[in-house]
Amino acid sequence: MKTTRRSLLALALAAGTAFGTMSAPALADAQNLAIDLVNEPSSLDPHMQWNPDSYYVYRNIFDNLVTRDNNGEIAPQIATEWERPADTEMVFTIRDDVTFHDGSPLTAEDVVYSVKRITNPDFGSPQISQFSVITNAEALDDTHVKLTTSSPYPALLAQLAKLSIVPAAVVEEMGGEAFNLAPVGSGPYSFGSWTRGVEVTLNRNDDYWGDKGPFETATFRAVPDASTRIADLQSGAADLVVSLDPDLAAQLAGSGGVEARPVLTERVGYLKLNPQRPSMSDLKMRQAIAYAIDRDLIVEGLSGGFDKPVQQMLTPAHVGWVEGFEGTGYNPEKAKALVKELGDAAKVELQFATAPVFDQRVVQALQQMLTEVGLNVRIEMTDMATYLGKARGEPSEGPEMSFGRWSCACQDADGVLYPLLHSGSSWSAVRDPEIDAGLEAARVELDPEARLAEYGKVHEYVATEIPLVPLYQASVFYGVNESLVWAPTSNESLFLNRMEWSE
Amino acid sequence: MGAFLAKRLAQAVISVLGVTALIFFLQRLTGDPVLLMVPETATQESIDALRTKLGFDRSVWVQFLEYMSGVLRLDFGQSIVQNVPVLDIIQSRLPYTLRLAAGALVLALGVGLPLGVFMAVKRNHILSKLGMGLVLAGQSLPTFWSGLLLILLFAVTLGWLPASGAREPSSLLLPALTLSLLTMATFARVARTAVLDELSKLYVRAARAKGLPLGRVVTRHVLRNSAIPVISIAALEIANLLSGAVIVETVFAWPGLGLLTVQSIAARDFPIVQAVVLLGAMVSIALNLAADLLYSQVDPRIRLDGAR
Amino acid sequence: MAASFISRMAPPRLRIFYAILAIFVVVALFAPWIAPENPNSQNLLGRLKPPGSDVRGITYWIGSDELGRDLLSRVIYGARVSLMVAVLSVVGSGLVGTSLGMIAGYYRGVTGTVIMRLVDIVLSVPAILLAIITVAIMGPGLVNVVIVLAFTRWPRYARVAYGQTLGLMSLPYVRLSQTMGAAGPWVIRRHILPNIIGPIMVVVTLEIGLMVLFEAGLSFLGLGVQPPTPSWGAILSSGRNYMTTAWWIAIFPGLCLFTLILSVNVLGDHVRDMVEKRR
Repeated sequence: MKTTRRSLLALALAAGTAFGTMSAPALADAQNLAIDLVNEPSSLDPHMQWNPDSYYVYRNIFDNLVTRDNNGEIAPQIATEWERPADTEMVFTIRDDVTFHDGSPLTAEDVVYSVKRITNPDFGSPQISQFSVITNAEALDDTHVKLTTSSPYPALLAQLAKLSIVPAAVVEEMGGEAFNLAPVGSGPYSFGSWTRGVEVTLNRNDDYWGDKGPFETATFRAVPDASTRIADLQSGAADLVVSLDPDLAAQLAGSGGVEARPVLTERVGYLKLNPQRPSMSDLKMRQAIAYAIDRDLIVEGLSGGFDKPVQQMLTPAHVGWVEGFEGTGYNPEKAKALVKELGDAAKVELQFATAPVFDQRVVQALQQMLTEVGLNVRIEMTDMATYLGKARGEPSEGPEMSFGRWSCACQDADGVLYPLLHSGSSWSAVRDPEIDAGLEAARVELDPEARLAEYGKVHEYVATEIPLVPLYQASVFYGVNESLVWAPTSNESLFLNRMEWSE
Repeated sequence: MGAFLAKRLAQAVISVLGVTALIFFLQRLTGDPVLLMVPETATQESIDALRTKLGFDRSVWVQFLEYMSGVLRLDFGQSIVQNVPVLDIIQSRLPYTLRLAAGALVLALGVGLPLGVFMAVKRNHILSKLGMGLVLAGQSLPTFWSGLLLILLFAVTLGWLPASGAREPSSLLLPALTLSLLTMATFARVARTAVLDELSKLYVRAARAKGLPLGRVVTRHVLRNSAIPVISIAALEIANLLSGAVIVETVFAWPGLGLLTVQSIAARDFPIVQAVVLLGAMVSIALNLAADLLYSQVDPRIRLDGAR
Repeated sequence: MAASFISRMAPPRLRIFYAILAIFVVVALFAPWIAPENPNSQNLLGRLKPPGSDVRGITYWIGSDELGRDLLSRVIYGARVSLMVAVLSVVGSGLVGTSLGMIAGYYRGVTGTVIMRLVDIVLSVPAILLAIITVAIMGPGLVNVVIVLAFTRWPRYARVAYGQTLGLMSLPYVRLSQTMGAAGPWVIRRHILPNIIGPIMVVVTLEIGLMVLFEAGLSFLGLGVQPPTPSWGAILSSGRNYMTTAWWIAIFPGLCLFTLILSVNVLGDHVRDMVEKRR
């Protein structure tokens, strides 16, 4: 008895002090920027993996032909200009003043090598399908490269903003495995060291041709637990932390010297309905679900208004966004009426697949909204690998509904609507030749207006047939030391040379 | 003794092979990593191509035979996700887990043993009861919460210790303390029981009857004689510490094998999980064997032919 | 006899822990009648309200959670889930482990060797890792968590049951019933089981608190019961995100978890003392 009371007291004391005021963190080291990621990069060979933690790091080591400026527009990088001599050809003019970190010059041959490396099926890059439309790359002279595509491809530049240029000679000499451990690029930061599991350090490239980085070094660490990332930021051990949700970000409000910075991304939160399941094959069921969802309440209630409700399966950051498009909207009375009409068919238990990486508050709120109009929804949360297996498996065996947050990292409708709706894609539960034809036409349409019109038809289709319920444009929150001048951008990159300390 | 060891070693080999097979087939039931590795926009053809390249299109038995033949040649393969030999990765992470486990063990022993001895000698002293209450309390909190409380107190509010990572020597303190809370009570208990057992023996009573002070009897004889059960329990507790390290390493971003394994299971990086489990199994079997040998040393009534 | 048993098992200083345990069991059994609200009913406009708040006629006695659900009701239902997971997984692993251990000890030979090697194999994989892998296969959820915990923990019982059974085999009455032609299952039930139940109960007292912690740990890793099912571990691990903004979400389930496990541990400690003294 006595012992319990005492130990409870000790605990309460510990907790009490923890909730007390917090002092502002001091900058541990102004010459170093310390960043907390979620996981460590899996590999720093920019062609060998596809995950955000590697992406944050290697984007600073390598340049691309083109990049995106802070407004999200395509901007020159290694290529200063480009033209389209034919519908399936693009010629890029390459800068002649760029050197790799080992001192060798970056030439048209390196660009050709990089393109051929990532598009070579034998190399087996996980990213190959983003570039597989490129059939040939050739150096016309020292500063001109011609890319040929199998069909006209309006999203080519958007994809090339992610194709890192690697030094041909170094990669060939080191071999892939060694290159992955000690990458050589031409970017504003060069690879310093990688203490496996602990941190990756990058050094400033003082010979960089463009804007040089403000920090001598930058360290990226893996801190999987979000609460620990917040503690690192508050105690000054980290200057920048990624992947906070709005509620976690709110914790930073009370502590001095640090703040949360949200930004709207190109991610779309959505609900995928599976018409290949008997219970979902009735349009009335899908309509009932669409009408039951109050996007504004989710956005206002859960994200503090930082997310933005969308009625089409895109965000304003995408090519293909149709301004002013109206979708189904929120109408609980209509939803209830539809459920009543469905009768017994509406009582079936609907599986709702999700994974821990998604915002569980949103998923549970959706379940509640569907329950309120009389549907019977069961959440099936599994880890990411299992979730993907279900979401990309044969739809007739898959779950009735799944939650997702889509990003193609290309800000183009082709990277969103084609995989989600085209019958040839494993994500799609839609089997409709008409929509397939529309998506194929839009994919190769070079005229922007005609292309937008095609996507307008797709949005119309989604709103009437309801294979998807677009929910909101998702925001992400970074935790940042206040003296860091940096505005996060919608493409979720951490470009070190676009940051600086205040004063 | 030699025959006993030979038999135990043979059993150990069978167990290690069994663990390897168990984990291999369990993991293959969880799917494969290919879908996690590709972008959302990847086409089915490129997914299939990657699957073929990584060898996941073959039958599980072929994959198993290939893996086992590698293991027999001490080739543990490449990490699928990181594209680096598994042994290199394990080598760089193992020291951290060892440091964490050692730190936790030192703390648990340092607090648990004196407390246990004190409890045995002064059974009804208020400090005995308070101490045992405290260590039992420590055992009653999930580490993912007690760890966070410690971070908020020592790293955020007081600013004395780093919240995460392994950059400074002092980084070890918080995770080791969190982990040690799990086993402190066990050590206190074992030490108390062992000392009580010794105290009831004839020689202690004889010494006391001769007028030797209790403190001296304890420090001279009792402690030494009760050390062995404590050591053998310590050997077994190391296995528990390694298990507890999984969550503690996640909370504190401590770059050891526990964190590596959790991430590798999530990423379906099979060769890493396989190697970590194999290593863990060998350690656990070795510790068990060591504990048994120690027991037989202290108590000749336990014969080493396995039939107690 | 009965009175002395009670005073041995429940000396006055320990009665408070029995009382705590009893309260938790009652709360768990009668959760639907005790809980003031539906534990899953949300109000997104009443999120993160401190204890004592009134929103739309509902009083949040110990506050509301991140979805505006009544935390008190969730903690009450959470008692049900957490205790159920602990009890069912201990019963499951105890039954399987004890039976297999007794069979291995009684028949020895090939059966015994196979069973005990299996015990070694499962024991030599860190339990939490085995649990994570099996949850990845079966998917999370209350039933699966129980199955996974039973699957990972049965060897603890098997090992104790095996050792104890071996010790009993040389006793005269066991040998006698064997030579008189009694069937194995009968001897096991009649002579072995009653004699090893004490040491098995010691394992049970150690395991039950651990199972509550394991369930919480799985929830922390996103592998516990399915949302929105409330378990103390699940509420606590989401409450970690609100330690400085809405402390009540973590503190209340945390305290419940703490007092429950502490009571089980203190009482278990006492039971072990009793068993050790008898030897």
